[in-house]
Amino acid sequence: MTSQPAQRVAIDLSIFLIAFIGTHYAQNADRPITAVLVFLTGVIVIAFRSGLVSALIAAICASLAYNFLLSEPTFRFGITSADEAVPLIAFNVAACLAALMVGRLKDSAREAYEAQSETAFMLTVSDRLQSAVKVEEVETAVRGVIPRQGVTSVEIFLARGKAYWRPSTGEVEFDTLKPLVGEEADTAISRGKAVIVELEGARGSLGFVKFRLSEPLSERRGSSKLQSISAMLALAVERCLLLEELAEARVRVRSEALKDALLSSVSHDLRTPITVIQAAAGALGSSQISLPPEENARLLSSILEQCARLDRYTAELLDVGRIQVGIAQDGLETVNLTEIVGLAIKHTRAVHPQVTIERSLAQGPHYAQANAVMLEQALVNLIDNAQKFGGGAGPVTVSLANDGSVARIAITDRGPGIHGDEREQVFTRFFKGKRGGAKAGMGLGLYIAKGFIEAFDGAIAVESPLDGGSGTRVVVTLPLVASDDTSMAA
Amino acid sequence: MRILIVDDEEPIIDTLRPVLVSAGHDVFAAHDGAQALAAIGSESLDLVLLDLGLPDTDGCDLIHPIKQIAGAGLIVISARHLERDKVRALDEGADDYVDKPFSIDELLARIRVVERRRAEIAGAAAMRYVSEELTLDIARREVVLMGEPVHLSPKEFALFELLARHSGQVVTQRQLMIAGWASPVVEGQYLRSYMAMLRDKLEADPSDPELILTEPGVGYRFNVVMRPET
Repeated sequence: MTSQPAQRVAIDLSIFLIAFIGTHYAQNADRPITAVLVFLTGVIVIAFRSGLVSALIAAICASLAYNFLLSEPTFRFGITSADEAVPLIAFNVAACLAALMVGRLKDSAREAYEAQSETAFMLTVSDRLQSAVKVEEVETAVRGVIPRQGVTSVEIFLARGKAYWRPSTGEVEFDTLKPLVGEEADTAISRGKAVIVELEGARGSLGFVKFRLSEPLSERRGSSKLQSISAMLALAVERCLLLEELAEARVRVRSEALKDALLSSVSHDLRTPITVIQAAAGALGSSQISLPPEENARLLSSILEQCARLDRYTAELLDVGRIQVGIAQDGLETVNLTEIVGLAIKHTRAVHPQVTIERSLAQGPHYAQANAVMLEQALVNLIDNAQKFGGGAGPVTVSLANDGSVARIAITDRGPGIHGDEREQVFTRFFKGKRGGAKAGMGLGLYIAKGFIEAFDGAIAVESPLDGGSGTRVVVTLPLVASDDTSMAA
Repeated sequence: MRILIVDDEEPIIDTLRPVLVSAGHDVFAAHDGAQALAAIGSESLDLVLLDLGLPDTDGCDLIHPIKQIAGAGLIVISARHLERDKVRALDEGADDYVDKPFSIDELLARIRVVERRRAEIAGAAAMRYVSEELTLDIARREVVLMGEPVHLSPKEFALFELLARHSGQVVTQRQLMIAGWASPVVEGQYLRSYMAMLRDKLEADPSDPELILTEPGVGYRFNVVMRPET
């Protein structure tokens, strides 16, 4: 199957020639039966090698050659006696029958072999296609196997609206004719060197596949093979498309669930203070309810408390909005970090006088590019968080150190620390730790701090638990800038 | 009454407690499902005010112990995002609900309805319910509106009886479907048309109902106090 046709014909000719010479010697040695058998053997070998057509040609040639060159009278067709006729007729009949039988056997063996190798090839293609899970991979999956079959390239184009899209390269072609015929393709197609097959899926046409061939496609079987490959490609493409749709649907469901969870969390956080305010104000104003004066005073103070809470939540949501919109870099100014850290500590002390805050600030000044108000807010959030979750267990330490090119601000508490996967999530919007309970707030404080710090080209990291298995340290680093006396703002 | 407030928000408990105490109730509080179960087991309770959004438990899991073990009345306090859970809680036996934020007078009114119904259930099951304008006689299957008899079809009567027995409280669509069609999976359109026919027969202005109020997404509330007579 591997030998080329020309080579095969040459070998067949040699066999014929050897048989002819052998017959000639046998004839000269006056061994007519051996001569006939030698020639017959030659014809059978050719039939065995090359099939029916070659065998018949060989048989006819041998018959003519025998008659013309070897049998008496030589160099003349013709029979002089009945004695000469019998071996000649026997030779002709035997040669033709042998050629017919062996040739046909050979042909069907070859067909069987071809069919088997085609099946094996289709199986390989199908196996390769099974491994593709993305539509981009389908073309690559068959690229390695198909060239053996005289196909030089395979291009898959999928219909997307009015355009065609080639997944393996990501090209989108709006001119629908161009991928179909290509730049040079009309000549290739007319010479039969390119074949275009539509990819038919269960839900209609998916697009088409273009095969480029090393030699023109002539036989019917070749085209039906390309059809089968195309059908498998269509199946693979459709499977990948369905997988992608499924994945998209799953992502959509998950993000919907996340949105629902966020919404219910925000709605709970905002509604609780309103519920308290409405119930307390209603109780104070209701004619049906009369409360002792100290209860009235408590309801009033809880109204004020909840108003402050609502105000804080609103401010946080506005800050989140600011981060999402993006903080403009040109609004930044040179700020004195020592001053801002001091302000943030003072602010937290005023709100939570019961918490001990230790300060350890390196001799300054240290300057950074930031927005003073936002930086203070970020630090207040961090210190507030530290007192909220670790304040009961000991003092909160705030330190400022100069590392040469960056300033390091560290806020350390002695609380139980953050454990497991909660540590990765603390900067996530609306994240609340499991043990936070009602004091957790909206879960925006750290998110806002991170958003602001990063807007100033800084970074924020959390270390927890610290040596000893408890405590949390949040470290803010900000790039230092040289002092700028003209705009010393804080 | 002995009332248990189940809510994870301390400020809400702090606000409700003095108001309920001043209305003459004994008040207990639980911040989560575990505390609530402990209170249900140890105290004899008349009413539970249950917030469905608890940190440790699905609020609906507490309905069975509240109704079966404590035998208490149950008013669900829900934030709007828990709409589905609210209907589920009502279908599973909660007596009523209030949405957060609520007016304190409304909450007190709902509590009074539960109190009244608990007193009724303690007595014999009534066969006659009356208000100033309406009389419902269940034994005779008669409805009289301002002295005039109202003719109701058997289905209309079944629906009206359920609403009147729970006057002042919400009745879910599912409960009405079971009363009228003996099945909880009736096409919602049927229920809406029967409620429209009931309004046609009972309301002064069916386009602006005052007796049969719609509770969107939940069911209906018969907005007249019908007192049982024996």
